[in-house]
Amino acid sequence: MMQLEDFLENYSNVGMNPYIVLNDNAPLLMETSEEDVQILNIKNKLVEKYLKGFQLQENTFDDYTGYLILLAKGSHSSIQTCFLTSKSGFEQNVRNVIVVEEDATLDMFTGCLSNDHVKSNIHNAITDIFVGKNATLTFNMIHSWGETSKVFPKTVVHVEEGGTFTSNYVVWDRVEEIVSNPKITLEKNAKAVMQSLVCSHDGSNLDIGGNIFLRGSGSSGEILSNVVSQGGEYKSLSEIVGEGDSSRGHIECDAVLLSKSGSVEVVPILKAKNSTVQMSHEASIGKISKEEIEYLQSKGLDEKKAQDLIVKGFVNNSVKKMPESVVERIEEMLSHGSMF
Amino acid sequence: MITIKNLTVEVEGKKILKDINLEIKEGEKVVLFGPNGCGKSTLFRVIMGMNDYNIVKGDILVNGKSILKKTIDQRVKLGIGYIAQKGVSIKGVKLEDLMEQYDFEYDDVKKDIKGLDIERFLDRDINYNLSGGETKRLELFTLSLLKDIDTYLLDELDSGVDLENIDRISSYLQKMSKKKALVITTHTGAILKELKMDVAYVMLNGEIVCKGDPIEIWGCIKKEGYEKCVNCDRRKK
Repeated sequence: MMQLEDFLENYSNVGMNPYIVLNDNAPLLMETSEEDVQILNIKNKLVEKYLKGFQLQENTFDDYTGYLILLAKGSHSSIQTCFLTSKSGFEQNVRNVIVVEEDATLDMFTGCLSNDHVKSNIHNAITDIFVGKNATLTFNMIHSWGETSKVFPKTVVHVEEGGTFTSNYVVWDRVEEIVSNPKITLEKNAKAVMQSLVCSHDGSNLDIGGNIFLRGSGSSGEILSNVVSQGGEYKSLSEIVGEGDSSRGHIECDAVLLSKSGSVEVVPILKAKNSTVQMSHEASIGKISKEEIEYLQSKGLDEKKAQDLIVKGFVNNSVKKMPESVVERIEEMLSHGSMF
Repeated sequence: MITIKNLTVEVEGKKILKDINLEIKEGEKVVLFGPNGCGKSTLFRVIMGMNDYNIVKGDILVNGKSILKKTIDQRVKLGIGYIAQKGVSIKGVKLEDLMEQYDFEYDDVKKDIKGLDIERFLDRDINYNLSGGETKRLELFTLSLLKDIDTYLLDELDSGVDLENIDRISSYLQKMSKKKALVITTHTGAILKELKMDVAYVMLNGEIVCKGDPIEIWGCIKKEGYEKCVNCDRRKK
């Protein structure tokens, strides 16, 4: 598990400003109100005004924190955020809204962590994301919750005509439970890519999937899941529904099994509601090939080193389409001696 | 020195190597001939400890000590270097990732990288989308990374390799294997033009059936095929 100091040291060098920390359920400390970017406490009275007309998920929280990020038309920004819990048994409730207006581009880099002494904390989140016409949002998230943490985000994304939403989601450290199944709707020629790299540790229960609704013509969606199973229970239900003319969908899952225990369950669902839709899925689940291990042993590596190198290769392959800042962070995580 | 004594290996109850006796002396250059499926590659893999073969009889010794209980990498550390007939590709593992596993400076291997012309493969996945010749050059390079190899086992190093690459591979191998023992297999004989071998063995159906001068035996195989070996008078004697 990562300490806040480590987090700040490791993440603050990716050159993204401003920097948002949501601690427990305390209100956002710093608000930003500039011409191109507004970052407001979700309870700020202006939020209601800005979000008038947007279709939002119901906020079921009584006690909660959160932000509204609003990127103005045509502007570009990079923002880092961090969710933090500092008390054992604490239930953090986060209500976030992100709006990227027409032609704007936003790179978000989000980390989640709890202090070392924090046990059995829960993180709930309700997030609505709106990507405007021809706008782009790249949402990078690296989890580093504690091994007894439970994480339940509910994310709904709406991408307007020609917009692009990319989610790069990495869960490498041990966590007790995650249930994350974002729902994305794409309008005409909009595009969404959900890529994940997950390590399913012994004792973990992970339900990480997603749903892409190809509503507009020419829209396209991909859900790419990569799993290293270390004995946890992993489930991925990924669904793409094709409705718009000539829309395209692809689901892919690669899982490598390193432990005799645990399970990997992959359920791809492709629903074509239009005869011009093109959809496909691929899945590969299995242990590391003996041929590969023996090959590397014949290069003088012992079995453990051979396995580590193959898993590192699997990880490299999983993240090769992710932004450099995410790849660097992952390389750093993997460079600390053995993989596990 | 590698000594193979009365080695018999079975797969699913079928004997695939039968009572093999072979000695590879220090610095000796050995060529193994034999048709596809005769057991040459299996013999190499058994020496390396691969595939969990069932050794029902016999022993393999390195400098007088049995290696049967050693793992593949331990056998490498005992001085056996091996290149398989087909290179294995591993998604996401680049040649430079493999190089990081060894303790050397880039300058130490610069000459080998240049000599084998493999610089452009360093940041590519190992053996991925490479031609036959490129794979063999890459594999030879990985052998050069191993220290203290006394015996090289090279399975069909010249298969699927064009003439230009054969020359490059042969001359590199000649330098690399100086004062080292070398055991090669070949179907084309292309590599024999540059490499001078000391002794040849012919394998048929899991057995070593003939031993002799490499040029003489290869000449005979080229002319009359392995049929001649099956009915060879020398063998019958």
